[in-house]
Amino acid sequence: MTSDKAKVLPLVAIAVIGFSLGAVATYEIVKEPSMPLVHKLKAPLLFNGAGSSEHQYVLPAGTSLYYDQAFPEGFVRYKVYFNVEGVRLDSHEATDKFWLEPLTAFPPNQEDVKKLLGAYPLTKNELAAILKSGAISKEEIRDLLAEYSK
Amino acid sequence: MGCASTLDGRLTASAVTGKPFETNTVRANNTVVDDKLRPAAEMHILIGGPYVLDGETHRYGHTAIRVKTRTTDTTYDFGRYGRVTGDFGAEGEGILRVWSNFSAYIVGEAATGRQTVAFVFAIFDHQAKAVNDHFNLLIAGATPRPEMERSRSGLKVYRLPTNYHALGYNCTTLSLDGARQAFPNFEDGSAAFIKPEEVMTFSERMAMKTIGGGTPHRIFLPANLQSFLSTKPAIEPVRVERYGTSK
Repeated sequence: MTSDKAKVLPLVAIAVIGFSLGAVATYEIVKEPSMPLVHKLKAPLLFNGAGSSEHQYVLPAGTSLYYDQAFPEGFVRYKVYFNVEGVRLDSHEATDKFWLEPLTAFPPNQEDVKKLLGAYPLTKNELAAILKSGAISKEEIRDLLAEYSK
Repeated sequence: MGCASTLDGRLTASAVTGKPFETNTVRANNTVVDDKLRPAAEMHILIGGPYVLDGETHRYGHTAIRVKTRTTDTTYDFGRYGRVTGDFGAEGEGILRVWSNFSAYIVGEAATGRQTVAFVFAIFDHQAKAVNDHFNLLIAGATPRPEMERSRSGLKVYRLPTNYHALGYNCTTLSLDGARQAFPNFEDGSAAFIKPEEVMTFSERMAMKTIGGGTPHRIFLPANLQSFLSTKPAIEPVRVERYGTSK
């Protein structure tokens, strides 16, 4: 009798584990997909990446950022969707281990705003949004305005 | 036959007087005595705490190391700031960001709504140099990534030859490697504070124990390091500073 129990118990344990794993997998597959979290930029952000180091690349206010993942280093990764038209872009399967290559976006500081005002078609509303965003101190805003009112 | 300083800051020989070993009392030019007797530099272990975003708490935390001397202020910040794997993003290029502008670093951390705790250790200049030399050696073997610095003054970015892994070579172990250059026994006793259950979710711990190869033997979680430094550190900090407010 004892040897029968010894044979049956592992089988029962395997069946229970198998059922649990199956239930979890089924739940993951059939659960209703939740709507994505989205943030609409209120002020433009600069972003880096390949390209001339003297140039600034701007993500305009109003861009929709779709939440992807928060990292402990202190940044949050978002997706931005583009409808590309007027050009044919061929794709290939990503084979690198580290295939996900995000750019880094950040609010402009005082120096950046000076450059933007000189070289980038920043609208009055975008400038106002940057100044309101808190990335630049009141003192720096005063300096900027003084410089551009000369 | 050592030297001692008088109350007015002069140096004088302590024992020998009279010829032929007569000594003269001389005025010390500032820092000779200070350098030898009082640490003039600081090493900060910066631990960013959890933060809440869209109702979800991110508990893992972030560690960096800051070295302050009378002439320099450098923060070494290691993380997945470059390319990463596409699954959970646990592994990625090992990107070392070197900030010579601490406020730019800490403003970015505080923007998440987290509190960063700085454990401050008094160190001598030669210890600060040992820590900086350690990182300079890492940088010498690294690939500069100027495209990741664009327009941000006070920041240099490098890709280290070793990749970042959340459960292995990460922000905490890299910072501790630096701290050990100043205090070789800095981590002594820290193994008792390795408690993933205090930080990681059940599924994260399961993943660590299976595909992750088991619980690491070296302290690797910022929150566990904070418990160690707060409770029973091998080296006592001279003070603890806090930046930002946790939300």
